[in-house]
Amino acid sequence: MGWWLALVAAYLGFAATFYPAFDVDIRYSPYIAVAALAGIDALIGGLRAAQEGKFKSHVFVSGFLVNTLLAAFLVYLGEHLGQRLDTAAVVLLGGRIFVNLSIIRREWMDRLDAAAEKRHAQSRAS
Amino acid sequence: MGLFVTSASASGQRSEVNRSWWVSLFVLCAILGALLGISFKAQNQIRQKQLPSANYEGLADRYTILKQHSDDSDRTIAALQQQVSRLERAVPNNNGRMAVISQDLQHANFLAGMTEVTGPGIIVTLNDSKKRFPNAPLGVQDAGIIHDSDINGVINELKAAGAEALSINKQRVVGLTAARCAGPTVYVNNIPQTPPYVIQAIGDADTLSTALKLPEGVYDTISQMDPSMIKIDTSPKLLIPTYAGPTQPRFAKPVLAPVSGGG
Repeated sequence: MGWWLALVAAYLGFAATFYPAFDVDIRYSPYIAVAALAGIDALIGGLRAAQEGKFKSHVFVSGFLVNTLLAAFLVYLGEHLGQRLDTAAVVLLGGRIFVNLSIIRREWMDRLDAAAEKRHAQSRAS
Repeated sequence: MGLFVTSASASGQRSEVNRSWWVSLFVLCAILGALLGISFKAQNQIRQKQLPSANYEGLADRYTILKQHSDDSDRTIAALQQQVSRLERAVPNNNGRMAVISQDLQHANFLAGMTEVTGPGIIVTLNDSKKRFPNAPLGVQDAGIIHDSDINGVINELKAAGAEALSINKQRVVGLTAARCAGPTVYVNNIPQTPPYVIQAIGDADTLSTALKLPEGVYDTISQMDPSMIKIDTSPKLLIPTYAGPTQPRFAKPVLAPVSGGG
């Protein structure tokens, strides 16, 4: 149920902004894009933490909010310092997303292996 | 997300805490979706609006179309001007007074550069130098290139020496003709030109070429950089084309002198 709820929520948010006919001020698109990336990172970080049994909902919520805002602020700051700090954010967040995803994938593979072994053991027993 | 549930229940949280957790997850995912939606939309917008910096093909297309339009307009202008002169020639046969007026008109057209002109004169060819000027001072990094100032200098000198008709690369020089640089090209009568710039001038060939070759004059200035940049030839018979640009003034109106008596 959790999966579907999250997916539905994400789709609702997406639909509410993507389909209506209004013009986005393109000046803000770099901020929003990096904020979105930070959001994805927080979500996948939460997934990983849950998998490791270390998940704390307040850490997740605060991490999501603070990271998105911080990422957008970093881009803003970079623009004013004349440095491409958004690259730093993109590299870091993107890298972390990959790392977390690969950890999650390994964990799932382990579980699949374990399940297969279990089935094997059962069929042997019967 | 199913994992969240297992871990949440595994860590023994109460269902009430659980519910508020679901609400916040829902809200956060909605925010994330909204952020993604806005980002997608912004990128779509950038693609659709074809911002110039991102879309050279579009610009090139538009340039071709505009160029075509302008060529069409040029042809229209030429055709209309031919028609005007045909009409002018057709009228006078009927009566003597019209013949005088028509002659005046022909003369005015000639003075204004609205007719082809032929006569002796000189041909000045200006071309960019093939030499490099690595030692040129910083201010003149574009040494060895013909600029609008060079062209205007030659034209001005020729006018002062009594040239009666002038053209730059087949563009007639009339009262309102401007030769000016815009980026790498020189525009004459708002038509882009490329080197070599061939300037034809009808007048006394000796006077004209002497005027250009005055000490410290235009010829000296240009040939000091590279003698191959300027070349002066004389010709016994030049043909200078008619002015082909627009002739309808938009702002200026003639102030007519009051007609006195006999007219």
